[in-house]
Amino acid sequence: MTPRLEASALALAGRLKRADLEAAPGELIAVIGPNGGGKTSLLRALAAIETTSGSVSIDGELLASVPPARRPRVVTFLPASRDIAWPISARDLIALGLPAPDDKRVEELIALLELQPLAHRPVDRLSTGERTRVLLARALAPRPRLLLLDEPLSNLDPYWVLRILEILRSGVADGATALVALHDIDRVMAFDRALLVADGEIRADLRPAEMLESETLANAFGIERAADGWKVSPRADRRSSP
Amino acid sequence: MTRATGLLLLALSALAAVHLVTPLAPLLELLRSSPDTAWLLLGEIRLPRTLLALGYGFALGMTGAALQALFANPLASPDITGSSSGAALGTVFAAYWLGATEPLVLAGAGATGALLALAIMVLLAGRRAETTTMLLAGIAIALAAGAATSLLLALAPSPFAFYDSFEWLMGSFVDRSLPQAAVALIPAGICCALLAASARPLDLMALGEDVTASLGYDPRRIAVQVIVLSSIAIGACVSVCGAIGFVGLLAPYAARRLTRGHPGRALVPAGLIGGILLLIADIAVRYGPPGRIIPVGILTTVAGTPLFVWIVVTMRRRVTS
Repeated sequence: MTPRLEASALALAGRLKRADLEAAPGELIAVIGPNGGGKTSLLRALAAIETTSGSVSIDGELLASVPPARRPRVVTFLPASRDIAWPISARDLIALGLPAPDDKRVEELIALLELQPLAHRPVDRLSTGERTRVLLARALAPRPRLLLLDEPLSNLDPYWVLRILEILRSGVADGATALVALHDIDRVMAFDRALLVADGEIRADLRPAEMLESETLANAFGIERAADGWKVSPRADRRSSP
Repeated sequence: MTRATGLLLLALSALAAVHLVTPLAPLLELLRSSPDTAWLLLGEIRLPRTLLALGYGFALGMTGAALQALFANPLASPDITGSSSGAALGTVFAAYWLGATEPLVLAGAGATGALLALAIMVLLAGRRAETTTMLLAGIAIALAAGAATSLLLALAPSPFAFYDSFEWLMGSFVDRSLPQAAVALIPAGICCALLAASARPLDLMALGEDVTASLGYDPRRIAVQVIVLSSIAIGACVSVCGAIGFVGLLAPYAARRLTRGHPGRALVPAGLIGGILLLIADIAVRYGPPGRIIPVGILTTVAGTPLFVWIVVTMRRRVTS
C-alpha cells in the first residue's frame, strides 16, 4: 500500500538535517522537541513551503507538482503565528481555506469549533485563543489528506485542548493524517505516534508511552522523571541547535 | 462581478461622460457655430484628459490595493512607498539630463525610477515590515527623490526647467495628446490586468506567507510581480501626468469596506474607486478661479490629507482598543 505521506532525504540547510519519514492514513502523530530544535522547520519542509532538497509525496503524488487549485484538499498548514493583518470576519477567514465557495462546510466548521457568537467579528478583534480556533477551522475546512499543525494547542484553555484533540481524532478516523507540533509533552499520550525533533533531526520515532520513558527525550529536553511528573535534570547536557 | 463592482462601474462611466462634456456651455456653443471644431475639441483635447483621469486613477487604486495586500499594510501605496516620487525623478533625469523627448522612453525612465524606489524601500524596511518602519522608509525615499528632482531641475542645462515642469510635477491632465495618453495607459492597463489575476493569492497573503506558500503559491514571485507591475503602471502614468498623491492610499481603503476586508478581492473595486476619485477631482479643478489652472494633484493632496489623518487615528484606535 502507498503510504499517505512519504518524505525522503528532506533537508533545509542549517535547520533540518536529512530526514526520511512515512505516515499511514489515519495516523495522528505528535511532533515534540526543544525550542529551536526544528519542529517548525520539519512541518514547513513537509508542507513544501520552502524549496528543500529531497521530496515529499502524498498518496504517491509529488506535493510540489500539485497545483494551487487542488492543494488545499491535499495538505493544509497551520502556522504557529496567529497574526492576521486585515479585519476579515471569522466566517470569511474560514471560507478562505476552501478552494471553492461552500457555505455549508463553513457553517459546519463554525458549529464544530463553537464559533457561532464570533463568526461575524473581525479576526483582529478576537483573543489569541479564539483566533486559534478560527485558523484551525480554516485548516480543517477543505478536508485535507494531510494536516500539518504548528502548536494548535497553545493559547487554549483545557476544554479547548481536549476538544481539539477529539476533533483531530475524529478527523483522522475519517482517513486524514495529522502531524501536530506540541509543547506539552504529556499530551503525546493522546496520539498514535510521537516524533522527537532536536538539533534539526528526527531523534526518535516511538509510540507515545515509549517516548515518555525514553532516555533520548529526557536528554533532549534536559529533564528527568520525578515522583510527581518531570523535573530539571541536574546533569542536563542540553544542546540547543545553532 | 458583485453588485458593488457593477455600481462602481456605472458611476465611473457616468462620471467619465460628465468629465468629457465639462464645461458644457462652450462645447454647446461650438457645436452650434462650428461642429467640426467641436468634435476635434472632444476627440483631441478632452478625450485624452478624460481617459488619463480615469486610467491613472484606476492604476493608482489598483496598485495601491496590490501593494497594501502584499505588504499587509493599509498605508502602503505608490506615494507612501516613494515609488511615485521615484518615477518623477526618473522622468526628470531622462527629460532634462539625457534629453529624451520620446514619450515611451520617458515612460520607461519613470517605471525604472518607481522600481528603484520600491526596491530600496523593500531593502530598507523588509517585505513584512511594521507599518511605522515602512512609513519611515517610504518618507525617506520620497524626500530624497523629491530633493534630487528639485536639484536636477535647478542644475538642468535648460534654465527654464523648473518653470517648464511645474504643472507636470504637481500632477495634471491638461493638454495631453492621445498618443501621450496611450503611452501612459496601455502599459498601465496591461499591468493592471496582470495584477488582477493575483487577487486570490493576495487574499491568501492575509493568512501569512507560509500559508500562501503551503497552498502552492510562491510568495516571493508574487512580491516581484506586484512590485514590477505596479512600478511600470505608476511610472508610465507619472511620466505623462506627474505624481498624484493620496488616491492610491484612499481608494483601496474604501474598496476593502466593500470586500469585507479581503485585500486581494479589493483590487478591481479599488481601481474603479481610484478612477472615480480622479475624475471628480479633475471636474472640480475646472471650477477654480477663472484664468487660473489648479493642478489636480494639489487638490487630491489637499482633500486627501484629512482623510489620511482619519485613517491613522482609526488605526491607532484599533491597535490600542
